[in-house]
Amino acid sequence: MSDTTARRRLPSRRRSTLIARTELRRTWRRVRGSDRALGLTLLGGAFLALYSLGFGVAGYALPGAAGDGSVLSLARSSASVVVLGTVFFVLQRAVKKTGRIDAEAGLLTTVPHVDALCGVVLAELGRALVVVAFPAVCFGVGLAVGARSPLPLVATLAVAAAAVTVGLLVGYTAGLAGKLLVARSEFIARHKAVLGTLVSLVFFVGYALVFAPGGDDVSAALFNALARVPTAWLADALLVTVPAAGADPLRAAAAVVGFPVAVAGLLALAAALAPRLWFGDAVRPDDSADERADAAARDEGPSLLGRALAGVVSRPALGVARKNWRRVRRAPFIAQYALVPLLIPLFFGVDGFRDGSVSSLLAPAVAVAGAVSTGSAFSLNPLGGEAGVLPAVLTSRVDGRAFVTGIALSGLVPGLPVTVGLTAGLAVLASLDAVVTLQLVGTAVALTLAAPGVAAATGVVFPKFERSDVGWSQEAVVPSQWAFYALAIVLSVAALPALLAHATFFFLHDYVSRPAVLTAGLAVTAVLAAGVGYGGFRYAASSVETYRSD
Amino acid sequence: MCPPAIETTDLTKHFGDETAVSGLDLSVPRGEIFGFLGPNGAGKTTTIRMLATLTRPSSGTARIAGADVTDRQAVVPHLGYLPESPPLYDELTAYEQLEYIADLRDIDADERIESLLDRFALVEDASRRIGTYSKGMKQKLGLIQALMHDPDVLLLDEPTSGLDPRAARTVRDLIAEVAADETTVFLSTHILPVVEELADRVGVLYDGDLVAEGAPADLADRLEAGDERTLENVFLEVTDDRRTVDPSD
Repeated sequence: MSDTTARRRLPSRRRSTLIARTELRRTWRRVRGSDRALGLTLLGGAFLALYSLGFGVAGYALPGAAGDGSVLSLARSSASVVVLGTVFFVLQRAVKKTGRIDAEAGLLTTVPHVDALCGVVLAELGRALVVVAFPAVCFGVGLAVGARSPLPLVATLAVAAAAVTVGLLVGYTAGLAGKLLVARSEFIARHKAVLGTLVSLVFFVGYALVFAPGGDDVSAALFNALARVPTAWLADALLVTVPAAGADPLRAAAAVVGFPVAVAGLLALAAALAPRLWFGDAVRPDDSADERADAAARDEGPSLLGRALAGVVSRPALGVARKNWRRVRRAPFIAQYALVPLLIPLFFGVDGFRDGSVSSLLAPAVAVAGAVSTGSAFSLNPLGGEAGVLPAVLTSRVDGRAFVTGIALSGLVPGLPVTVGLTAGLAVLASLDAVVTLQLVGTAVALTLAAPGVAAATGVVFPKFERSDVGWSQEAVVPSQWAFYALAIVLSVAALPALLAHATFFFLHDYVSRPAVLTAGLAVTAVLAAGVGYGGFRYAASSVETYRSD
Repeated sequence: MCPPAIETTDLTKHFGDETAVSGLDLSVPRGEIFGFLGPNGAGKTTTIRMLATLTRPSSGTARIAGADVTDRQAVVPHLGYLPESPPLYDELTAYEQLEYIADLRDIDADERIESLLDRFALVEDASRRIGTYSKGMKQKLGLIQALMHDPDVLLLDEPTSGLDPRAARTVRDLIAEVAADETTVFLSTHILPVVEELADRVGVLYDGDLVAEGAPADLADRLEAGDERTLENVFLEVTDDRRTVDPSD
């Protein structure tokens, strides 16, 4: 290789920093241009400042407690957590966004790809450093004051920057590798929607195992393991400046020597992956199997369920439901958010599952959460959920009632049996008696039937039309968070009489029988649910019918 | 006497302080192809969306086949609409998409769907998912969707955008054919030769105002001596702030 070629492969500092500056300027303008983004940033900054003061106190106390070996171990684990946390966030961003450059064709035909890569990485580093700078300064100042030496402050800033840089490069390189895998593997490209949904679920289960109540053993084991990996050496590099801390100078030296080696290696790897992703041809999945399946389904005509429903609901309503099921079967990420409410009570139930018991609170929680999931699935954004097809829907002859019936049916057909089945199953596993079980099942039925109507109404009040990145290079219109909160609040309020009846019985047991109290609670909930469900349905139907985008 | 297929009176649309369409008066008889021209941002799409009942007029009235555009249920049976981005679901096949719209309209259109798919050479691809289609194929499918119920009025926003010459030819032939069957076509496009070839009358919208209206040949005749008498020159002249032309000449 000639010297010229070798020189060409090194990034230009001027161009890379220019790209990074431009990227950071764009980020700042995006934040400044949106009240919501600016508000969230300021709120995040306020919390960060509050936490940072805590870091300052911890830094100040550290030299005094340094004789205890567990402090060093804690510091080592914490260094690894900073690296891992950075990997986690940067990896997600690389997969969703930064792995491909904005205005890619323009930039890549203007500068060498290594300049573009370094520019993007520097910009990402700038964003990350903004987040860690204040906590690092607070911790460093605290540590310096506690140790009565300025050295720990310098070391803290250097180690924080090093930890973030390593985490960022690992995360970004892994993100590039992940995107390249999707671009090159026909299997992954073909099934990325399903795989993405599975990865999200696996991640949730893993998160629940570590962080759910009762997961202390798992998280402690994980934390201890993190103190023994090379990223933990960064803590030694910091604490070697605090003589009483007992840091290992050898590990500290290894961190100092290893850092530039790791950075150079990771950058080289990223520089090798980036052009393969940016300039390479993505595989074109063979859709023939899908085509054959779709054609066969068409030849077979309506399914048993379709034929059964055809006698009950109108053709336009059934058409809407059938279309929704087809879309979600083929692209589950469109509605994967709907699983979240149902997973939350299961998250808190993990503790019980570990020791073979099921909390008696889980069944009522699932009755409410299952209804919220059912409402969220298809009904929470009646207008925006149609995305670009809304004009065709509105200019068809479908009336609002048929349309909302269709989206309600889409959620109820899978949601009602799942919610009722889970509620009944968990009640039985929790050894609740038959009366309580029946009452909870009744509550689940009442709330779930009402959920789509309530969801549709909150969805037309808080519509959302913008697509969001939902990972794995997929975009979907995710309903508004406000619509979701409104749905959850309304259903929770409607559920209160049925759920409070269990507590009320303890005060009234001398006067009335238990079944009477529970039945009365269920009856009030059923009436409330029917009222808000039907009212919501009518409001949503009328809103869809008269909707104009002004 | 039949009402005009499209009739607007003083149709106006404001977005805040901006006036997108200002006092538009139009009357398009049945079976006519009306070419709707104008530079980017002139208000063409806003006008079409008002006619399609998707955007509420700020003032004035508009009627499609005699039905007021504020009454969607009265208008939509008469209306076919193809927006600039064809309204299609990527996850469905062409057959499923068209069946879905037929379900919404509660019509049996199997034969017409097959015939239109055949006409646009999409039969072979009709079992493929729309996400795999090219822009031109999506455009053709969107047009079939707009035509499947045999509407009285067809609103087309840039229908030949992204089409290859053969597909564009097919679309032009089809527009001429549906107009011959008494369907009124309101055609918004930047491609002037398409309008020149097809349109019975042309309206040019500029900054929300209708600055010229008439048969393409009549408009060309109004040009000053020395200018080549083409629709392109008419368009350039009436949409140029620097030149003073009285469009009502």
